[in-house]
Amino acid sequence: MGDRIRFCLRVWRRNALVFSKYWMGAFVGTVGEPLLYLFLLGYGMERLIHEVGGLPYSVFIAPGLILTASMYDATFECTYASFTRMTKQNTYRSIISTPVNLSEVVAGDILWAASRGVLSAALVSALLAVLGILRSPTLVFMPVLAILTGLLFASMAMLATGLAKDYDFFTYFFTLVISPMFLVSGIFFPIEGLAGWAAAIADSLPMTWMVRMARSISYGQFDPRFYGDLLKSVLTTAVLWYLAVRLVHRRLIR
Amino acid sequence: MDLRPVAPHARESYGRGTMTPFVKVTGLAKSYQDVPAVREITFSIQPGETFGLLGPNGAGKSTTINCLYGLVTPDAGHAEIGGLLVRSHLREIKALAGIVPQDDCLDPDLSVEENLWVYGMYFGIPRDVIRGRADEILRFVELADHRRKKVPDLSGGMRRRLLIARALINEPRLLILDEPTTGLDPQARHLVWSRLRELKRRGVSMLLTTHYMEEAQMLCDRLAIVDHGRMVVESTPRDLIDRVVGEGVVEVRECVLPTGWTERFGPMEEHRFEDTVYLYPREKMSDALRFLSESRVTFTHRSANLEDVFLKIVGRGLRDG
Repeated sequence: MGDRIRFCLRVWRRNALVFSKYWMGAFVGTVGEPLLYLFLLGYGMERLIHEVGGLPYSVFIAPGLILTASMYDATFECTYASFTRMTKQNTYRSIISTPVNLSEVVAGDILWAASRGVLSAALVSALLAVLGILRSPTLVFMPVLAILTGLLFASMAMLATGLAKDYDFFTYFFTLVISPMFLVSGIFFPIEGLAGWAAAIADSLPMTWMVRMARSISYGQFDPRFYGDLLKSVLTTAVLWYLAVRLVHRRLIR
Repeated sequence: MDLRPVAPHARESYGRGTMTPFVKVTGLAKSYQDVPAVREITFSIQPGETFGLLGPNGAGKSTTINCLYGLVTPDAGHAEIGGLLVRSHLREIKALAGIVPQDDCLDPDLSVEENLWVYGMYFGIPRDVIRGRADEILRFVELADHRRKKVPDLSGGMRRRLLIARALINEPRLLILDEPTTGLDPQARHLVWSRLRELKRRGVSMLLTTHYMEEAQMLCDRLAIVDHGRMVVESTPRDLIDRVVGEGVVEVRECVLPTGWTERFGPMEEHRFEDTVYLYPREKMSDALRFLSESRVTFTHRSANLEDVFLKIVGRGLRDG
């Protein structure tokens, strides 16, 4: 196991080296996007919605938006970027010509994607703390939650990459999976008020669990569903990760 | 790059005299969706030896090579490198081999030197060792002046040299080269050949596939011609030429043999293709040449080469796809 982690980290370091060349552009997108939502949507909507559950609207949407940064970072990295490395650039092929094995290349990419997600989430949370929008000391646990979010969505994205024939496939993936996840997971409106069936759908989305956990630690108010959400997230990540490795393996090793 | 320690070491444990092959491939077979790519491939490579796999497109050369480093899992048979089975010791085997694949898989996000550093890191080679080796290897393949260039800015020949350089970073005892000079201009090809000969002198074993008979004849100690997933012949280049073709070939244009030819020479080995008859007169060569000169046909006489062997065995028809 220790051996395998060492090999994954070598792939992680390759990605980190490449990222160090154009991190600026990467952060503008993944950190900038949630902040735009927070300030512009928050400001606009606050004139209509005075409070949600006793909180100002921008404070209500802030926790979910922090993890949105991780979700999008991880998803972009393990769809477009990993797909490019796996197919167009043959990077996977050349790495598995060395002692690194394919499952470790996949794991390295997933870990790297999650790491990017943590960085973005940490930056956004720090900014929100400095601006005084979120004040609870438990906010320091946000990066931990961001790791989990990153791992879950990176695994899901890698699974999509294992299935994708070309880049068009990701358009479907983003429109049918990621965007609904972003809109329906309780970031912008509480799912508790929805009709039974709608609430059930929303509640089955991994991002909903993440957002609920994020609210607990952002406000310092513990939600009793926390442990259940945590368990579901970990299990879902494990299953997605396993399937992703299998699919990529089936694709590259003949 | 200091490959010198490799050679004595290789000779010690796998000396030519002891005849313990460094690579041993036995009964390899592989089908893709019921279409057989490799039916039965068996060969071995002695330490320090260069072995060539020749064959038309789709003969099964790349599939065979890919079985050696885990990219393809064979349906039957097995491969052994350095006494280890590929199936069970993939990581160890990949650590002692250097692979130069057919398609360009350099890391385009990295510079020339970073490609070597990062590749060395995958092997777990310490950073300062990698840096030292990378400097030497870059000089060896004449890329030292381009070390900070981005991969997309390199010419085809430079990219191929970088692929070879990258495969040398772990000081491999076996170099696997899948069509190392395809698509290169003559200058670049000659540079690659001279570097491969130098590696050979240093005792590196090599497995090579190629379409260029000149290349095979020059580099390979032994070679096999593969067709339809099977090995058709296997020997040294010289022996194949002598056995299959003889020392000379006569090409008669317009496919017209002079009258009285058959009466004089009886049935002789010949091949007709497009506008030419290829004759392999062997010991009747001087008679045949005299006879042809006295008639009015257009012909050329030249010494036989590996290409004649190849075309005679594999046939002259095109193999597309």
